Amino acid sequence: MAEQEIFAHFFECWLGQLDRDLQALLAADVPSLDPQHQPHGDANSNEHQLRSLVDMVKGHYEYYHRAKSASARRDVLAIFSPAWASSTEKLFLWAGGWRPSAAFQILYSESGRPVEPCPVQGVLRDDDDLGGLSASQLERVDGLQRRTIESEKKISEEEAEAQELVAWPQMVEISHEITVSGREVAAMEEGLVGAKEAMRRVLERADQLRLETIESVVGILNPRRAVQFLAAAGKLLLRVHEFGKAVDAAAAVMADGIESERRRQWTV
Amino acid sequence: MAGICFEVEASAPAVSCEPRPRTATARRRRMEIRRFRFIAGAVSEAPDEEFNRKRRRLDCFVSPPGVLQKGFGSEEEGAGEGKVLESNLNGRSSSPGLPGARSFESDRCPRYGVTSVCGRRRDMEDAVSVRPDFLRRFSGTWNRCHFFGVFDGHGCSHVAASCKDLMHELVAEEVERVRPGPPPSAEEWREVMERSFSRMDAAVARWGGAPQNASCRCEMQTPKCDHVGSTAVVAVVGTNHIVVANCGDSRAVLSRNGVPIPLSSDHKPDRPDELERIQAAGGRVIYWDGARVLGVLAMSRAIGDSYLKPYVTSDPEVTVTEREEGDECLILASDGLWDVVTNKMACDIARKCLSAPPAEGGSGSNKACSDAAMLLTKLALARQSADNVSVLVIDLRRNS
Repeated sequence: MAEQEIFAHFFECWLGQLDRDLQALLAADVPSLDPQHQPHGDANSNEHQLRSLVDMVKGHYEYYHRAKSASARRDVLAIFSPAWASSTEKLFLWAGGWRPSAAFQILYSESGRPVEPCPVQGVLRDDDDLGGLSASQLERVDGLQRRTIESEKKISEEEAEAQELVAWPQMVEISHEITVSGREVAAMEEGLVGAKEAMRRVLERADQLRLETIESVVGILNPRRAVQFLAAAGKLLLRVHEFGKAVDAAAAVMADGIESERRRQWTV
Repeated sequence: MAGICFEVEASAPAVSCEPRPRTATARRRRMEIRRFRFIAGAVSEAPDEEFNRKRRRLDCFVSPPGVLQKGFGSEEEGAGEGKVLESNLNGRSSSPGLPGARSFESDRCPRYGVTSVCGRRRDMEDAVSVRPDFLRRFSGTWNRCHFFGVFDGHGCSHVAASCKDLMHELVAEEVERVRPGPPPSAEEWREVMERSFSRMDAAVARWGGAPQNASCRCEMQTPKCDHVGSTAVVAVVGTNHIVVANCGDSRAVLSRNGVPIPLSSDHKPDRPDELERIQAAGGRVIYWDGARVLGVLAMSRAIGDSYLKPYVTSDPEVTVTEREEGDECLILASDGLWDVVTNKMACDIARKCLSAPPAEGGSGSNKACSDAAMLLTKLALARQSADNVSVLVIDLRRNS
């Protein structure tokens, strides 16, 4: 089986896992801001439960990235042109995956979502006030965001360097000479080895940053917020995937329709 | 992000001007600040030399008082309570800060809190400057004044960063030049601010192009990058007065007796008097994602942006306000806050924080200012502010 298909299969399985994780996150016994709806059992054991749930989900992201990395080592081309992703998802790809800094947008979007209670009341609690972020948490999130964006920019630079290898003198030379003979195709392949390896390293660094970002964001948040953050992120990934697939399917049906119509006209 | 709260006695040694860090990230932040200072120090010398002015501009633009006043009172009925001294003061008696005027017991730096976050933007272009007792080197009893500034950069961060590093020095020099002896009158403050802003603008226009700091994105635009600018809202808080100079769409709002009083009026291209000024200068305001000067810049005044001169000017509008017993706090913030939070709500929240009982083990209302700044920032983020958010809250209560 080609690497494309192997990873596509894995990806489908992983989405299933993501969905199960999402259900678990949504079902989690999250302490509410409403004193009427507090979790059963004592707060400590509840926090412990939430933490282990968060760790489990984090583990699944790690697992996904390990598999992706292994796949890239076998065939980097497949990972950079993912047949398993919809056109909509591809629109948002950065260095072979989602952008790490999107995590902060999710966090900020999520923090604005609860209907604002009167912001003047009860605002001074350090734990669960607006957006659930305490002053020190927001400070750490802001610092992490700046460092993450810096890293993203560095990786983008590396990607640019790797992609410019396509016009390396050796490659340009080959392109002048190329015919369809086997020798030159082999030379072209040879010439691309360096670029492909450079892109694989870019992917590795980008995946590393993606994982670190999840890890760090979740590390800053309290368990309750960490669960909500992972649920929001999972929901977004799944919904965009489903939506993208549906859009692609509809486009395919339309293309098929046009094609069969054309055939019908030809045969008439 | 800087989350700062502290109080500095006017006589405190210079080192205490440095924000006292209180968090785990403090060390890194401190290093950032140091790096900044060091580089800024190197830069600020050259312009200062060059600055030795050939001729000082005195024909400063002053917007018609009527329009200004209207802008100030627009948010809240009864905001006229805020006595904003206009430029045509003829009697010295009404000048704030004169010896013999009603004097408050303390001239120490008010407590304040700062929060400045990147928010939803990918680049941090805001800068905040706090310089307690910034006129220290000029002796005299009247001049215990404290400098606060919020600068919201666009195009890159370096103009805002320069303003942070240099503006207070320019203001101090101009104060010295205008009036080495007794405190400046309202009219003199206006001149001081207008000259300072003009010099600041000249400094960034002359800026050679070498990136000043790590976050500057201008390497590609050397030798000249004139598409960069910054707003500047500056408040000089003295014992008896508050001088606010503004250029751009950052804003200063005073909370007095529970009522928000804007001490600055945003410079937007569609503000009628600004529109008129731009058109009179031969410029145009084009509506493209909001009103923009030449379809480019969404504010009508800024430090920098030399390619949009003279339509975009760096002339500040200056207000001098006498401090009163009922003054609670002064909020300076970038539009990241004001786009999503009204003046009234900001003042209500800040007041609420300031009046909160001191937290256990905390340093009391010292922390209250940073709580207020932080809370306003969080509110802006929660309300989906799309910009950097910088908030500076200054406690003006006399007996706090």
